[in-house]
Amino acid sequence: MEPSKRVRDSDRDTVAREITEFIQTEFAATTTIDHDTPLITQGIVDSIGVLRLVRFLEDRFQVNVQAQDLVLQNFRSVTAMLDLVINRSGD
Amino acid sequence: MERERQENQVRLISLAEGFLYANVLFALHRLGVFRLLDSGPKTLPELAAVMGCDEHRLMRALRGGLVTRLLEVDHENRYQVSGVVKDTLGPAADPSLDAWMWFLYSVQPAICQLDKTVLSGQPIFHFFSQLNQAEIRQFSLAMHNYAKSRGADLPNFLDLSGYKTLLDVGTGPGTYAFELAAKYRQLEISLLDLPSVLEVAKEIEAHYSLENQPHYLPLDFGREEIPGKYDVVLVSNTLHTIGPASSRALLKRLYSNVNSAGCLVVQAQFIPDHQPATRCWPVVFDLILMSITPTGENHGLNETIEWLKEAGFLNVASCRMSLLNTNSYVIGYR
Repeated sequence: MEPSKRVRDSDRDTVAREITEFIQTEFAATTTIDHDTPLITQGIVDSIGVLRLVRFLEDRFQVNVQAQDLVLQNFRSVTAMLDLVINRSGD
Repeated sequence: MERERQENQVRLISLAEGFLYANVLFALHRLGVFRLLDSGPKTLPELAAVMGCDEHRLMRALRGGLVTRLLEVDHENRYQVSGVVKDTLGPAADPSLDAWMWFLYSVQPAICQLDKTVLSGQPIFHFFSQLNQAEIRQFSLAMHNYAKSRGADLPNFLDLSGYKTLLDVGTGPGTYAFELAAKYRQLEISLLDLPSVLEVAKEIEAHYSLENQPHYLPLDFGREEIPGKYDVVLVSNTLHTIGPASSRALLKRLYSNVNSAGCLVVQAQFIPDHQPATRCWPVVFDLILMSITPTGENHGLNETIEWLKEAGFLNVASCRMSLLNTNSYVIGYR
């Protein structure tokens, strides 16, 4: 996906794959994750990890993650982050 | 199998060596190296001359700063602070982070003897009772720093629209009450803590422009009656200092301080109720409390909910705030 393009619903598979790959590489070297793996409650991503994820989502998908977005429901899984990216895209 | 064994070795060694890196940070901070580099890069002889210490020993300490990425060297081999230090301890950063560093440094001798505390049941020293006024200020500023940074989103998650009065029990620097009053301009806040602590809260208040003048109640809530009735009673990061038995007794007493249809809010860094404990700080914070207080103990979310119900509060619910905030809160209504 080209980084400058607005993320559409039809991009879901691509975006989900890229988020999964980032988490797999950066946080879950010894665990295999899927789109619904509980990332926070299983301790795969901690608070510094959330900040790194925010930077990744903002840089890669050109979205602006707000302070009020930094809640469990938006980062609990790849699917949750995917929804956040779609919702924030075009803001 | 061999790869897994190697990874486990690295994990264990990293844990065991962690205190060394923290001490490099403490030492460079206490030596004033970061402050000296605020004005720009300096050579080793320049730093040693200002500090009045041996160049070789200083070079070894600075090398510790390089490997921990607290310091960098420029192309002229001059030392400068890294982005981490610049953003957190530099002149433009919140100065009360200095105080937080002081707190962690101060409790370090106790936590280093955790094994003794576990066996004896006694803290290594009584941190709070031995503080002088300057140290109380330092500690309160440390709490202020926490409340202003990771804890600052309480007003975004706790809706106090329609409430008129708030009592903050064990207010410390008063930051949470001030932040709430800054957002909910109708709130009239009362801050309760020991007289020496309230002096610092008054200092912090100067940074806020509040609609209503705060009231200060210089009291020991453990020994003295708590006066008045309020729409909201806030108990923020206080119960862990007094332990479970005193917490339950305090919450029962506070029930009578809450107006009908009012609420009581306990904000804390709750220990996770389920294993594995993935939020590390509340757990290690509990170990600090065991090492430096006679009865202090961090508490879990579910037990706090039960304490509120036991005290008579209704519709008790909890809220986890931002993922960067180790605080959550429990709210119950009268």
